[in-house]
Amino acid sequence: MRSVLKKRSEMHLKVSVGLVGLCLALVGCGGGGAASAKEGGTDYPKKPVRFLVPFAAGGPSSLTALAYASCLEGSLGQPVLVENKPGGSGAVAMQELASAKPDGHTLGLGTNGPLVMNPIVNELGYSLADFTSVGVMAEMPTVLVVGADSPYANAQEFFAAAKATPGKFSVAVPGATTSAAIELKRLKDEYGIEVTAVPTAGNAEMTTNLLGGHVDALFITDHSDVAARIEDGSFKPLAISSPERAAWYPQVPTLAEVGFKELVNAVSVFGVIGPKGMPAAVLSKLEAELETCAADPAIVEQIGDRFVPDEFDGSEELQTAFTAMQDLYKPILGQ
Amino acid sequence: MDALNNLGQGFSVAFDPMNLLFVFIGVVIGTAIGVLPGLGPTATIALLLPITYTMDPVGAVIMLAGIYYGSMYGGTITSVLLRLPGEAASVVTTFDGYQMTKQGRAGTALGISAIGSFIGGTVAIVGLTFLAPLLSKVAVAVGPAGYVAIMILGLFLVTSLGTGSTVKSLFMAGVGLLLSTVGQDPVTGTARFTFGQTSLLGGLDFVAIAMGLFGVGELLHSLERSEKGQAVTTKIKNIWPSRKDFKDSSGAIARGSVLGFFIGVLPGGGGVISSLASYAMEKRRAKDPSRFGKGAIEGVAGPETANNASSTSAFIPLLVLGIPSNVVLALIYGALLLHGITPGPQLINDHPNVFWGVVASMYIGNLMLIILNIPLVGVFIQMLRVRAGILSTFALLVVMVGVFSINNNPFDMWVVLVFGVLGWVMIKAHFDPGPLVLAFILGPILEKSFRQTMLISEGSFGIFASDPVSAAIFILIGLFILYGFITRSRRRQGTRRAAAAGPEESNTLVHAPAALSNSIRQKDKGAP
Repeated sequence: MRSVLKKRSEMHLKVSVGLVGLCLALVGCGGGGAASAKEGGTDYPKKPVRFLVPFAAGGPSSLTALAYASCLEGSLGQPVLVENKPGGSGAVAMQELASAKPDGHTLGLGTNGPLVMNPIVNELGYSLADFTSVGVMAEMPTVLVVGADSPYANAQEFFAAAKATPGKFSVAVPGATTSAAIELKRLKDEYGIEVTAVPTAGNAEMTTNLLGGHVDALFITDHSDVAARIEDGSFKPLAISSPERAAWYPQVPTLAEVGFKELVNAVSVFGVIGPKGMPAAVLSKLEAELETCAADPAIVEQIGDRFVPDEFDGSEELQTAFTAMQDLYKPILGQ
Repeated sequence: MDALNNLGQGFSVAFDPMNLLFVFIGVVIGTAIGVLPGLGPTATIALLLPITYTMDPVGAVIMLAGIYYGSMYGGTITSVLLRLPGEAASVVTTFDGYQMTKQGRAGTALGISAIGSFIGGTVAIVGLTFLAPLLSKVAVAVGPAGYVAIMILGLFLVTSLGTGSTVKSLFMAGVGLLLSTVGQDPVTGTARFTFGQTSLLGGLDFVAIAMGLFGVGELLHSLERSEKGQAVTTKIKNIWPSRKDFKDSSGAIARGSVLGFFIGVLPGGGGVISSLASYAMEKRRAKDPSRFGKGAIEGVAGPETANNASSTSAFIPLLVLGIPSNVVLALIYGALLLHGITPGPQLINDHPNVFWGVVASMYIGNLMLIILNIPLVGVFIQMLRVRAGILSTFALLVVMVGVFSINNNPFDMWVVLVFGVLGWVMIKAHFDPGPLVLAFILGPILEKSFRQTMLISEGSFGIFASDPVSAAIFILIGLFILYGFITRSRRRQGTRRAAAAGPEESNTLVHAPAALSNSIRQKDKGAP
């Protein structure tokens, strides 16, 4: 999923703001415009809420944001306007969010790349510390796949061959500063298995490269296109990056299971974030509404059952996840 | 005849009154946003995406596809009339189209574009109907090494785009390549040449640069001329292409259709690259390449045909492989995902009504576009009757709005203005922005593919010979260069022998293929 996002930011997808918001507003107002806004001891929100997405419209990040926005405006009683700001590889949106008034009327989508990694790699004038985490919307693991005619039937065979021929295996990743790329680097540094990570612009380019036989394997963000390829047999999944096996690929072992205990971090997290210093009442109200939305079957279906965590992760959990990511990546990326 | 059966089924979907309406809405919106400079199909489709959520998936894709190929028609209009590319793929049309307007042949240019677009679009749909599954193999055959070769071929063609001297063209191409390095490094992610500007992290935007150099530059240039002077240059005559025009452009349209179709199949190939390739091809084939850039009708007909053909064939990788080959198709991919349909190899079997319905709707859409566009040519050229001061002000306003819509970032508006001034200076100094813009598009793909290739091959250049696509293209480039040397030295010997004191006609590699095709033509004539 991250790959798709990454691709879009790189392709400079053109985007719309106002009208997307307007349509949403129309849809949303029809739904729950009259809902009470006085619960939880706060009159928040008093006006429409802006929701900044650091990627272009149309991709998984936007689709996730749109789904939650339509649910949130029903319960908050104010329009939630999704604005796509893909400029500066997402940094423009993050900067704007960091410097917005922390009153809950400006929120955004926080995810691995723009929120955690880019400020480590480049001087951007913001860092994770400038934001408040609200809760998780969706999570997408990364899958190691090979082509249908690959000689390797399982992860053990693949990694054994890779160890025997350091650097010979080319594995496409969704971009240079992505969790997937870093996990492959850790594979070399911590486990002595060297494969060549080939940064690409996202799932489409990666798929082309594997089908055409230009790379040996992909470390690709799981999404419906990958699932379809696995189903029809043109991709063979070898391992998955999440800490536990995924319910939708029960036969695919985790990287931890095949011997790489520490490699459990290549998971894209789409969270709701706001500027640093949001009032506790606003935060808890948002967190509660987000939790309700994350359990809404319509939302879950729209985003994909597999990508919405069964158990809601709120402000604290999201903050911990991003902080852990930062601690892990700083020494690797900051070199 | 399976395809015909399926197509029949597709037509029954497309002729559903609601779907007919969506085709119509799509092509009308497409034409309109094509006309508005800066506002392109990508921004529009992104804008309409949430609306399609409530629609039936077939209707949604039919409409979005209509916007895409409709915009290819509309983009021509301001390129020809104002030298303002309506959307990226029409940059090339400004080269000769605007010159035709200056000669009072605006109607002819627009007419031939509409006809070429129709033919190109239709040829590509027929190709899509019958060849789609076959061609999907071509799309995946081109890997990083193949892209390096294609991009080098593209850069090789760059120099033939300029109308001035080759040295100036090369210089502009160099500037374009340099500008394309601004932003994050594709492999390490570190910032390059951003000077602390966050907005530059994602690189300069192509649309902003093209609009600035071509459109705003020309607007500024026009301020130097008096109102009276402009009225004369924009006098309108010959609305309909003459028989001679048709004869001159028929070859360009035929070649543009085929070229555009094949380039569109390649990931990243739709749009700009196809029209640039067609222009370069026409210029090289021409008996007198110096006519190009001065109002050659082939220079309008070929690229306009090619961009329509490619915008249709670009659907092949999406619908057959599930691989969106450019940004617009990535959005359409998103629209299908919204409806729970994952485009991929199973699409034709699992959702035949989507695949064949969309294909059939394209036949209808193209027909609608030509019916809409031909009578509108007369209306659009009336635009030139508007006083230049008013027209340029309005055009600038639309450009600014359009460019803002790309990233919702005011920074891009400054980029347009800065490049507008640069474009004006370039006009004064007789530098052509064409090579700059093309190099700017090719640069990042070349860099990324080259570095990917080097990673895959562990630094060995042998991969360019072992990869069949890149090997074939490099051999082609080698032949071009070889022919250049041979024809040049022959000509030199010839002039020496004849002791003729006439100036050398050409001593650059650029004209080699022209010489090549000329010599082939002569051979043909010589054969019994």
